[in-house]
Formats: sequence, structure tokens, C-alpha cells
Amino acid sequence: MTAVSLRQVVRRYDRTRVLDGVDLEVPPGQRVAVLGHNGAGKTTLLRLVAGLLRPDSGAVRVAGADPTLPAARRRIGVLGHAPALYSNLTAAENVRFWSGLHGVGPGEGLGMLAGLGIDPSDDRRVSAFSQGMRKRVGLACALAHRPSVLVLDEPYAGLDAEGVEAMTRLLLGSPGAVLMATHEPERASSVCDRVVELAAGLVREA
Amino acid sequence: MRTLGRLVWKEALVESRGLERASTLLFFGAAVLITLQFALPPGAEARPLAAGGFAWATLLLASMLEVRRTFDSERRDATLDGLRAAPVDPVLILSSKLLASLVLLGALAAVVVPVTAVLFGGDLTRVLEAIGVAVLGLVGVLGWGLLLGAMSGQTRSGELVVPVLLFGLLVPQTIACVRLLGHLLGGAHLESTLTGYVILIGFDLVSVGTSIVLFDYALEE
Amino acid sequence: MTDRLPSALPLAALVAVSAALGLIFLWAPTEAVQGDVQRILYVHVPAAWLAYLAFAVVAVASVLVVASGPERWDRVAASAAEVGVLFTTIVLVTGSIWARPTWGVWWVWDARLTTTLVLWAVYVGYLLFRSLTPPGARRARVAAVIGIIGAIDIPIVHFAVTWWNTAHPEPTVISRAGPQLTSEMLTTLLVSLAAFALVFACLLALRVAQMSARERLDVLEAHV
Repeated sequence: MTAVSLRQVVRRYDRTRVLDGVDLEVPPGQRVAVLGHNGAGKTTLLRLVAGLLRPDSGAVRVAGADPTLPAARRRIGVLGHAPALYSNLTAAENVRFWSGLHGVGPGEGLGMLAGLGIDPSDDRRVSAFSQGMRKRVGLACALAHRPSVLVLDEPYAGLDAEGVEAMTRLLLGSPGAVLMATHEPERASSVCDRVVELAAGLVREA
Repeated sequence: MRTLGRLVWKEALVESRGLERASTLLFFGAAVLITLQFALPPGAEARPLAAGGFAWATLLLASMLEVRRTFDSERRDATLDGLRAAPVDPVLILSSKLLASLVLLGALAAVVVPVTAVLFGGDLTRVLEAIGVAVLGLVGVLGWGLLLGAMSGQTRSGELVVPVLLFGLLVPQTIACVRLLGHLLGGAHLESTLTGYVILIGFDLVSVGTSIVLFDYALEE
Repeated sequence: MTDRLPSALPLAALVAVSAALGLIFLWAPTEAVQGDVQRILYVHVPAAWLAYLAFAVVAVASVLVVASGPERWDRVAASAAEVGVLFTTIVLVTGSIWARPTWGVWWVWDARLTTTLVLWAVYVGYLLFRSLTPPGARRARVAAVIGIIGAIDIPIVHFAVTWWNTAHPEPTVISRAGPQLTSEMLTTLLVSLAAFALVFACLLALRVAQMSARERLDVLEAHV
């Protein structure tokens, strides 16, 4: 069973066909980078896989299930361009909340926080964190429930050298499939097994 | 159920850190009430009769603020996407927001209703029932209010959606609450409170029920 | 699919309206108690019925937008709302014109007038929201939800307003319809209703066709 499968997926945004019949299969455990210029539709593609959008036509499947169904989303971890974190809560509280929604205890996530260089006992609110630190907290929240598919939108944006190293380490160590949008080709090929390009609404191997 | 508990706990935690919503609503309520009291000439016999209407107007306006703010903060933090991407039934998201907002606005009602009665020379003997009426009314307001509030971020003119549309839609709730509150606080004549309660609870069921059905659709992009 | 209006429809509407006007002003008898001002009710009553029909169309079309997608049904909902607001405005204005000589005031907060005013406010809000939002799937979706809850609300509003109104009985005893309608009055009313119905259908079809043409133009412009 493929980890991620898109078959003839079409998605319009107002008048334009952002995705115009996309086909993409990601086997379990494979790390795939999606390259493309701004506005190519990378975020749209990732949001379809995360179950945040429905395709206008075609089929999106994650671990064989429709990602728009809540149950299917247990297997998915998402780190958006802006990490979904409650600014008024601490890093640990955010991890506890998000891992709790996925039905797992916070232990794993708090361990990941530490591994990413964030002190779990830090009682500062996330609003006080830099963008790079927020990204790391977001990644811990995304990985805490050991998803079989990880969806990342420009995960390296805003990271310093330490953050880049920590992110890469975690990605390379993650057993699940990874679908990562980026506009940096060198990063793509260094972290991922496979690179595809999204242009003119279609995906092709780069 | 556990998920609902988690979501409600999150709302409480986030709110307790800032207390911005609670204090804003309280001051807003006070400002509205003070402004409205100038709508009547001083010493008018109508004052006790107006208490119910003015209390409800204050709570209604505060609710408008609340339904928008609860979703605006989620949008600012990008956490609405996070909730939608989590294995959570959208109905639970709505329910947690309804409960959290009801606690906040209910607390406001517990202050506004007696204070209005006092300021307008009304009757305090049935003030607890009056607060109960106000809370029942707020349930109906929040049902459709949260639905519209959820959608208000979807479009560019979104901030207009709630105020432009909600007032008209809430007319039945306004009628029921004002008549019941006028009777309880100001001694206004009412043959039967039963019809008022029927409208109140009926509206609550319709408003919350249709919101539950339409909420997932309303959040879609 | 052609966007053209079938030309028989405007023609039929024109004929019907002319016939109705003729009957209203030249044939229908003068009502004994209210006098000539009663004639305005031949416009007021059909406008009210068709306004409700228009909002029923908004409701059904909105449900279809949710069930099967916005493309066609969103246009129908928007057009029906426009026609409905137009007819509701006619109801309110003609009602006021009738009320002034009859009750001595331009407006009373009776159950029906109040419900009509609330109806008007809700659907004006609907149109205002649409006009301030760029066209697209999002607007259609939000509008559909508003269309559905608006329709569900109207009978509740009517019930609540009627109850509210029992505390405020009208000062005069005259009821809206007045004493029994003679057969000439009934005929005039029915012809007027048919005329309004044809105007309704005409306006609805015209607006749907215009919106469809506008959308096709937008698509072409986007590709230029």
C-alpha cells in the first residue's frame, strides 16, 4: 500500500487550475521533495494530502484512506508554513495538546523538543520564540504521534544552522514517508530520496 | 468525550493566559450599558421596563465581539488549520468553542443582568431566573454566531459577515429574551412565559443543530 | 447552452402587466370602506407572495450548492435573492402607502410588517455580503450557508413576532384584506398575481443569464 497517492488530481483556485491532473505515488518510508516556484501550487498539493482541501476531481489517498476523514488523519503529521501553535501556551503545553488530540501521551513529543534544542521546562510562551524555534516546536508536535506520513511546507525557512542540522537529523531518522515542499534544490537532494517538480499544474520527476 | 475535554481545556488555558477576551467583554458591556441609559430621559417610569431590553442588547453586542474573536485568534496562530488537520471531528471544535464562549458570556450575563436591574430601578427578586433566560438566549446566539464567525475569515469582507447578518437572524431570540427579561426584571405584563421559553429553547435547538450540520462545510476551502 | 432569454417570456410579462394595470385601474370596483387606496393591494399582495417564493428558491438553490457544487445553483440563489429583495421593497413601500390614509400612520409594528422588514434586512445583508466579496467558490459556499439558515429562520421570526405583537394590539380594527372580495376583485388579484409571476420569472432568468455571461467573460479575461 502506498503511503501517499494522488491520481489525476485537479484543484482550482477561483478561475485557474492550480493542479491540473496530478499523479504522484509515494511508497512507505520514501522522502520526496516537491520543487516549484512561488505560486506553482506546492502548498495546495500539501494541503490536499493533509486533508485540509478536497480535490475538485481525482483521488487523494494517504495510507489507503481519504485524508479528509478524521480517522485517517491519525497517520499524518503536518508542519505548515506557519506552525500551528497557540501563542499563549508554552512549548510543552502545545506538544501536550497536539499529541493528546492524536491519542498519544506527551512523552515522545517532549523528548523530541529536547532533541531539537528546546527545553521542555521552558515556561515562556511560544509568542516569545523566534521563528526558527517555533518551527522546531511545530516539528515536535507533528512528529510526536509517530505519523506514517509527514507533510512539511518549507520546513527549512527561517532556520539557523543549528535548526537546519536538528531538522535534517530528525527527518533522516523518521521512518515514515515524507512529502516536503521547498524551493531550494540543493536542500531537496541532500535530505530526500526523490525530487519532483510541480509546474504548469503537473508533477514530473526532476 | 476526552477530545472535547482537551479542546475545552485548551480554550480555558489560552484564555486564562491573556484574560484579554474576558476583560474586553466586561468593559465593552459596561460601555454599552452606560451609553444606552442615555436613551431614556432621567426619572422615566419606563426605566424598569427597559431594563430587560438593554441587558439583552448589551449581551448581544458582546456576543458579536466574542464569536469573531474566538476564531480570529485561531486564524492568527494558524491553529485552525492544525485543528482541521488533526483527527478531530469538526463538530467537537464547534462544541468546545460553544462551551468556552458560553462560560465567558454567561459570566458576563451574571454581572450585566443584575447590574442593569439595579441601574434601571428594576426588580431583583427573580434575578436568578433572569440570568438563566439570558444564558439560554446566548446559546442560540452562539449557535449561528459561531457558524458565521468561522466563515468570516474565508473572505476578504469577512469582518462584515457577523454584524451585518446576525442581528436580523437573531430577531426571534431577541424578542423572547427581551419579553421574558422585561417581565422578570421590570414587571412587564406577560400572559404566559411558556411561549417565551418555547421560542428560546426551540431557537437554541434549531441554531445549534443547523450549525452542527453545516460547520464542517463552512470550514472547507 | 444559450444565455438568451426565451423571447416569449418578456412579451408575455408585458401583456400580463398591461392587462393587470387595466383591470386594477379601470375595471376593479372601488372598495366601499377603504376607497381607491385599496387598489394598491393588488400590487402589495402578489408582491408579498412572490417575495416568499423568491426566498424559497434561495433556500432550495442554497441546499443544492451544498449538495452538488456552486457553479449553477449559486447564480440561481443570488438572482432569486435580488428579485426577492426587490419584491420585498415593493411590499414595504406599498404597505406604507396603503397604511397612511387607512391607519393614519406610515408604519405600524404589526406582525406581518415587522416580519417582512426582518426578512428584508436578512436578505439585504445576504446581498451586501455577496457584493463585498470577490466571486468564487468561497463566496458561494458562505452564501449558501447564509441562504439556508436565513430560510430556516423566517418561520421562527414570524412565530416570534406574532407572539410579540399580541402585547401591541392595533389601534384600529381594519384587517389587511378587508371585507369579502367580490369576484371582480378576486379576478383582478389573480391576473395581477400572474403578471407578477411572469415578471418574477423574467427577472430571474435574465439575472441568471447575465451572471453566467459575466463568469464566462471573467474566464476569458483571465486567459488573455
